[in-house]
Amino acid sequence: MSFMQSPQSFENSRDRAASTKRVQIVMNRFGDTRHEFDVTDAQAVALAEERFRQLTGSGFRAAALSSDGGPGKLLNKFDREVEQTLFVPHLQGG
Amino acid sequence: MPVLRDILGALRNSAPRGYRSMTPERRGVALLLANLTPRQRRQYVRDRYFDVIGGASATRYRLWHCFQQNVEELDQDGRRRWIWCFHPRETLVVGDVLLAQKTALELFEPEAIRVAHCYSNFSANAGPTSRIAREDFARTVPAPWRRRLAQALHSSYQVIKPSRAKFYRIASICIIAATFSCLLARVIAIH
Repeated sequence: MSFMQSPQSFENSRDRAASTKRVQIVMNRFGDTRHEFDVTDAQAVALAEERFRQLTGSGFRAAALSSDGGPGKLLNKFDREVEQTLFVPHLQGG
Repeated sequence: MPVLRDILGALRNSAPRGYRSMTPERRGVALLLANLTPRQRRQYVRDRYFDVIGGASATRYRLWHCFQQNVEELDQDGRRRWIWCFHPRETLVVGDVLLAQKTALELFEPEAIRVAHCYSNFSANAGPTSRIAREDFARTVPAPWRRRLAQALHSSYQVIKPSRAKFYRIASICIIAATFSCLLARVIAIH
């Protein structure tokens, strides 16, 4: 029964898989666009870094979202360890 | 097992994607709700606003479900000091606007307040207390189960609600039936 895993090893492998997933959320008129990438994939990371540079260069502010809804962290440079990065468009007075 | 995995994968792919199949407005609210604290979430669903503490000044702000003039600055007693208006330059749905305002106040408050316009009162036609804002909230924010139950009961009552003439007719039939059954019970008891 090689396909059977113990619950503990299954949890560990799932955690490992989950911990390598990252997402960049870009706010737009459609709600948002999500770009997922895997930190183990060098090409995807490079693409995500390029996207980060382009968006922040065009006026978006990047923020690392916290998992509990509390204040996150402002990102000035790309951090591959951040699980969820939110891109907020430039603000103006109304 | 690969066969089983293929079947499960196909089922998962053909199933409606909850988040992706939502309207932009609902997606925005879902993203906002996912990034609020449990307390803020309860407050927002119940009252149409949630409170945020400014990251730089520790000032309390109240963010209302509305596109403009929706940020109240509160004093220590919870009374309004000012109303601020700032929003993302791009056209966004209201959930995203609120999340952008929350993020801005928590992470780069001075910059947000610097660009914001200041008001002393809400706009009557477009402010958070306006009919448009209330209807938009009711349409986009999922109501708690108590409110949904109350709405369902109310709407079903509207369907079965008898007209006044019908009500009096039914009431008089009930009274006659009750009187008749009482008389019948007495007659049976005597015999």
